[in-house]
Amino acid sequence: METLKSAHFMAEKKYERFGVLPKLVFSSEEIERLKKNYLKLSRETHPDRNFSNKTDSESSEDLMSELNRDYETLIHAHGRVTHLIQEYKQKFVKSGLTVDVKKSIPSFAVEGLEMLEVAPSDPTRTAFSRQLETEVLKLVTRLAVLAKTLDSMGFEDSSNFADLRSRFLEFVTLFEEFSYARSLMDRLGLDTYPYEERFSIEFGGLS
Amino acid sequence: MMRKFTDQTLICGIDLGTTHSLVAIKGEHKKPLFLKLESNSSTCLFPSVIAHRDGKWLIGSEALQVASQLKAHEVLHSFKRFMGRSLEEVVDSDHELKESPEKGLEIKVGGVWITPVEASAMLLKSMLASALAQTRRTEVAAVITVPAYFDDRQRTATALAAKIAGIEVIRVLNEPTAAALAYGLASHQSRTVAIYDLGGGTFDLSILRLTEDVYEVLSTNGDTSLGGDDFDKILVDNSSGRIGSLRSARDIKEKLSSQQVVAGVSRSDFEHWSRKLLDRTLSLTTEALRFARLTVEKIDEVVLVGGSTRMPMVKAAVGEYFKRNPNDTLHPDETVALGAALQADALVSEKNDFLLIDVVPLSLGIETYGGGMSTLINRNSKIPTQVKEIFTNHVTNQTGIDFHILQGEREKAAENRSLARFSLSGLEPLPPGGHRIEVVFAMNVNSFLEVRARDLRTGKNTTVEVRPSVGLSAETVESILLESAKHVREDLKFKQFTTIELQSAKVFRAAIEAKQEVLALMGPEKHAELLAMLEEADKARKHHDGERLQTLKYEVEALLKPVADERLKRVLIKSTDLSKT
Repeated sequence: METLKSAHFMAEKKYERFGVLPKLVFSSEEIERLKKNYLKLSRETHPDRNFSNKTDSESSEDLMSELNRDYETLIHAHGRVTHLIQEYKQKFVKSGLTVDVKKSIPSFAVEGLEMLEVAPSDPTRTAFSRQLETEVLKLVTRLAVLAKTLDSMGFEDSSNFADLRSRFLEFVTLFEEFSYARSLMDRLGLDTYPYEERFSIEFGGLS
Repeated sequence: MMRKFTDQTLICGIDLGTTHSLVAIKGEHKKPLFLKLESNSSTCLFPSVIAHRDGKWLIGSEALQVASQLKAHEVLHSFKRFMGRSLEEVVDSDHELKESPEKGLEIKVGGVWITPVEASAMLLKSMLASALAQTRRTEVAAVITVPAYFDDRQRTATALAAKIAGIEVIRVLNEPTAAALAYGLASHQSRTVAIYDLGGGTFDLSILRLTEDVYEVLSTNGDTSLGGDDFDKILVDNSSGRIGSLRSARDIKEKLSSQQVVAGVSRSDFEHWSRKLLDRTLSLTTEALRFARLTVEKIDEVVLVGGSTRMPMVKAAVGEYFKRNPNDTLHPDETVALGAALQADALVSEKNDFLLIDVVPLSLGIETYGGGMSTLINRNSKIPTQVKEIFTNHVTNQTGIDFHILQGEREKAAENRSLARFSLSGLEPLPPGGHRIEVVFAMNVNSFLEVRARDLRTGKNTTVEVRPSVGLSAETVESILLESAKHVREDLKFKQFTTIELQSAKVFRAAIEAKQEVLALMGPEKHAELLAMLEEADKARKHHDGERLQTLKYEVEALLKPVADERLKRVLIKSTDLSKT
């Protein structure tokens, strides 16, 4: 457990300064707190607040860069999820558990690649596109349900650790499918905005 | 290290516009004011025009006034559109253009080749000489504005022009952000504001969230080749030869804002022809809203900036799009300079009245093996920012890695803007994937990029401050700066003169006030002597004769001594009387 806690720390530090806990899903209150604390920290850190002293201003530029980077990781739903997945993976590895996610090919992948060769106006491609869009929405919903479960389980209780790990692996597999579907939609010339929007609504923050 | 500004430094905001430029300062009682840069002009707007005739450069109104008598190739308008551009990116039918590795893009104006940076520097120098004389200062530190959608090359070109003009650039500020500051839109309640900025040559749309004292840019989008000039061109193209020049087209366009028919062109026809341009601005607006993850309904206020928003169709279309009346209470040509002046004052005084957090307009990355672009900093990321990524070699026994820094949103490297190239050499020969090269992209508050590369195996470092080719090589800039140094004696003389002028002004003012006392106390002869001295001082001031002014100051002081003694005596008697009572 000690190892687990220390591994958790890396993620916590990034979150702590913004007054939020390391979670995949943020409520609207948490998002507001995140924004508010970002502004508060910016007022203290921004290089313009040390403009007359070039040396101080340059070092606060580094601090502000870090603050901006951390804030943008957390405020963007997709960025936050990607970051937490990495943190959780490290945590499992440090506690001696493997987290090799099985590289499964999504059901829509093969057909999707074939569709790239078909003319955009072709009815088969249009039908596939609609099907893919429905699939992506389903994926987002499933991901959100799983994420909420993972957030509620946390890493503090070792009794359900095996369960946590299997759910985590399922989450990562689905997240990879979602990322793949997004890139496929992009290549097919479909508008990914509504699906990213949906992801950000489910997970909180920007997408 | 402390940044030092003396009372001889003019702290100002400069809007280097496509059509007009402007200098603003924060005046007395915190009220911002615009400097009138030309005595023969009725406004503070300085035309961004230069002309070359009979071996002489004419700048601003001087150039504009004679423009109609000159041939098109002798006058250069709208050169902001050429800043940081390459030959293949610009179209200009009036001028001959060429490009060389040493100087970049050059434009032939009246037989003389000039780069856009040099043209801008010339304009800025002329503006600032007037501003310095007017404010009796000797040096300039300024916040200079650029369109938010300007890329690194265009920003670098602007900052370089200012440097050549002798300006210490304390911040390169995005125009819509400056406009938000000028409107002072911050309030206790968090509000989201859209700034629609359609200038003479560029269009920007920025979305800002204002929370108490913080102006936070959420997203920005735009087109650096879309502005009032394009509406002029539309008029020429559709007039079937009735409108001969862009200048006449501009006059007609401006009149059409208040009249229904001008020179046989109806406003409705003009609006019909221009619809595509307007639609383009609105589609960029939609994208900016998307980047900020907002819908029109979430926008609390819309602000119009830039001279081209005076066209009634623009105001109507923006109002219709945002479903609310846009705010255009400030002069659309003055707003940006005003905001820049406020930012300059806030930075230098460190009063912390407000804080600006801006974003990167375009993604930044590196060319990868196979001609792709790997993005390190995404567009609309907050600045300053720093991103690290590890790259490796794809070729066996590669002893050097070339880095090609790019800016843009396209996947293919060739379709993005090339900012700079540098190499990390002397690497140990290793199989593919053997090297681990850490690349750091650091973008500062001015949106200038620094790239560092480090071989993680050996610790070997390479750092480049990305200063893309912007029309002048480092050597050329150096020679221009050396040329400026040659004029250092002249500059020093001017500086000395302004200091003497400032000091002597107080004495001469006192002398004017004491004229009657001199007459009463010292008689008509001394009175006449004083008047003659004051007249001579006036001449010396006009002729910039600092030495004579200094002598006259001493002479006037000596002449006034009996008056001063008499005043002192009166004060002493009065205070003695008071102490008796």
